[in-house]
Amino acid sequence: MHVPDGFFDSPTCMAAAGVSLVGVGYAVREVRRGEHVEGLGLLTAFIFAAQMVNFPIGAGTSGHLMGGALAAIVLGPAAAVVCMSVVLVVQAVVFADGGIFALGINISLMAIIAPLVGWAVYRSLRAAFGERRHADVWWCGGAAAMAGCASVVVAAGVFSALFWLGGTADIALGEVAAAMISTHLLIGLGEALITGVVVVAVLHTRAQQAGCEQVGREQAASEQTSGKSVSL
Amino acid sequence: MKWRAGALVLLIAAFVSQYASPHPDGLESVADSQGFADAAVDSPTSGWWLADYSLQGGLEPWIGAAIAGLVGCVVCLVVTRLVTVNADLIPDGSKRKSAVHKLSASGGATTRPTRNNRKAD
Repeated sequence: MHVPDGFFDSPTCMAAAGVSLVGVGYAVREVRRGEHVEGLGLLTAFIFAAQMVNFPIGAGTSGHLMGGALAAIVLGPAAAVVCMSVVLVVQAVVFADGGIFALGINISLMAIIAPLVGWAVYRSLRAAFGERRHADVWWCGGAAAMAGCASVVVAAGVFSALFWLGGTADIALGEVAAAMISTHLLIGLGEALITGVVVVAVLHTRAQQAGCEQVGREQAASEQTSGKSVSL
Repeated sequence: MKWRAGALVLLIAAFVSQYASPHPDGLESVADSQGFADAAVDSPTSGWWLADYSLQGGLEPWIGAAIAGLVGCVVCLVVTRLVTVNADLIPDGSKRKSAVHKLSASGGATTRPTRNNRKAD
């Protein structure tokens, strides 16, 4: 969904640039002030790499992982905004993938809206159904998959609304929205699959690490952390 | 683990990406079908030597794409490190401890551990 230059008029690009500056600035501050986030750079590189791998969705169209929901679930929403923004800036500046003037729009859609939607859906699903099965990694993977799909579809919907507001072509909102959302529902299935698989893999690894870390700890300390760690 | 994951990332960027579908992506295809694809203009960086994930020059296309993928991964990693550099420089709490805390953080959503309970651990 990398928006090239020329799709949006200048005011819309400027407004989106403002929104993304504020959002990314806030996220960077949060990440810097918070706990050290292990694996942030690695996840950024993974999302960049995964975005290179377009998968066919039929009808001569392809899609690729967006990754916002994945990043938010694995590292939290603030770190996800940072990851996604770095990917988008590198893609636009180094690889001419996505416009430079449209960078604010791309960041707003894919680095801010997508991670926040994915994170909200994941947390809501976990809160609604997750309590009883909180130790089930596969259940988390399923929730992550739905969050991934939702993040892509919502971003496509917001693109359509933005295009209606500030697009350079005069096309009815309904037509663009119907085409964008139906196409991105299919892409969302791929997003769901990849997000689910990666989240399950990450949770398995973390559970193993947590198991190792806890060996030899005092009982009290161990109980204190294990209650939380297992809640992965 | 970190190194294995890193190797996997580089493998995806350099080789798996060679099998990417060449079809237009979701937005491009919608722009085509809705008739606004012509509105797109070239990015100011489209003349750059890595533009469109291919090296300009006489190299085999697949080698150019592989190099582009590897360069992109490294740049992403370095830029992320630079942007979040302060997080790495926080003196207290070893990385080992923070890894455990991140576990609980992602399990219990974003309950980011405060300095107090980090020390209590």
